Amino acid sequence: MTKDDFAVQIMDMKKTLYHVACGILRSEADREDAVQECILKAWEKRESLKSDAAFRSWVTRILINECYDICRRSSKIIVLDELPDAVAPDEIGNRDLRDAIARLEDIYRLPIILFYVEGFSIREISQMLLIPEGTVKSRLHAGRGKLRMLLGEEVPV
Amino acid sequence: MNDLWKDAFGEEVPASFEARMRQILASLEEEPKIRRFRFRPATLIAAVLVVALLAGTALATDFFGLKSLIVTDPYAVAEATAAPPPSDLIALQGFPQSAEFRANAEWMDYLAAYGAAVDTEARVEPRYAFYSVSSDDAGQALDEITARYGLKLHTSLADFDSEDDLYSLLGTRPFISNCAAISGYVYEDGSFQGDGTSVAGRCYEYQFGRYVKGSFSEVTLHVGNPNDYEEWMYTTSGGVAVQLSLGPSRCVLMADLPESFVAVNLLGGTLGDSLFMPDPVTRSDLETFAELFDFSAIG
Repeated sequence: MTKDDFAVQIMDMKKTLYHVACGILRSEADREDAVQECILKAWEKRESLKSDAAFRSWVTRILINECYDICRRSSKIIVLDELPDAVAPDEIGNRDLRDAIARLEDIYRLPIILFYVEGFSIREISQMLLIPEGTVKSRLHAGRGKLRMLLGEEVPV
Repeated sequence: MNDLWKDAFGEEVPASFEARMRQILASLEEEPKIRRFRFRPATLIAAVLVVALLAGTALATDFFGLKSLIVTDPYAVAEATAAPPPSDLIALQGFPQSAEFRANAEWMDYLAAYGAAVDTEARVEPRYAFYSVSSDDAGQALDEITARYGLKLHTSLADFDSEDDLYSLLGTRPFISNCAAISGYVYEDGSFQGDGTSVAGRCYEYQFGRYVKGSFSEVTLHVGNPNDYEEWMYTTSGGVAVQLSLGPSRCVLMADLPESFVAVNLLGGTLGDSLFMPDPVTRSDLETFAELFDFSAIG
């Protein structure tokens, strides 16, 4: 893959990368640091990617790792294949879907963003988050339930 | 997919975020960055021959399947609306009779009962910074468990971004062959966690964990159905017995060493459906993978 091809594919993913970074990190500065490291590592390891079709999932997984690293440096690490804990809920009462997603616990928020917003499959999310497909499904189900509670209305599926 | 979801996140990417992306992309160099490629076919062939000679000799450790390492999945318990599904979560700190394994199993039980998925941002003592402690009660429970098993909590960590950094932090000689890249973090006692890539005939992507005996770690791994794994003991050319577990979508290597327990999660399996290792992993591949590590140097 040439540098130009790589750059084009990465820039095509800018919204996905930003949404995923928002799903884990609260600070804009941290999000920028994470995407920087993600791009460098993806470029460095590009020879290990055999299928161009997997590029989007592969880069997203690298970004998730970088976001976890930033969380770990600033607070705590929990498990190898789980998401870090705790984002403080903002003031309850805002009925906007995005704000409600932002208030979800991490273990529900990222699968919701990856599936509903970014359109990744259950299988892709399972591989990105290193959790079983059944766990992805249960987190989507539970996450929707929590959104209903936060929004007080039906959540789109 | 309902557009409402996309609309909720449909705002433009901040200019500073996009600018950072463009800046980094512009700075990339065309030369491949794969570093320290040290694959030596002759060495590997020799190693395989030695292994063949060693086949059938007595194993240095007993065999434990992944099934014996299953612990309660606190998140599954917290999420379940009815009875939670059987846990597929394994602890990675030692074989079942070890203090480190039993302590982590008890801690997972506690988190499940306490409600691990309940999100809080309670202030807790800094000494619990590396653990899932979100209240004074949880801290007390963790102290009781670690005291019962005579284990210490981690107190600090340092990041590494290269093989050389890792060896420097650990104070060891090199122990990974054909390492293309590795990054992660090392705790104060030499326990570490790293994401690595090695190239030996094929590309191996893995998560390497070293857990020093006497310290408490809560790292766990989802393995899916443990009955789907083919498992066996294998003695490396260096004479170290490792447990190999060949699964559909991932593989696990474990070694009980004098000072630590090593658990490596290989991000590919027999189905060849992995994002990172799209070609099927065979029994032979996994044994070749085990030969990439000099366990005597890890200790």
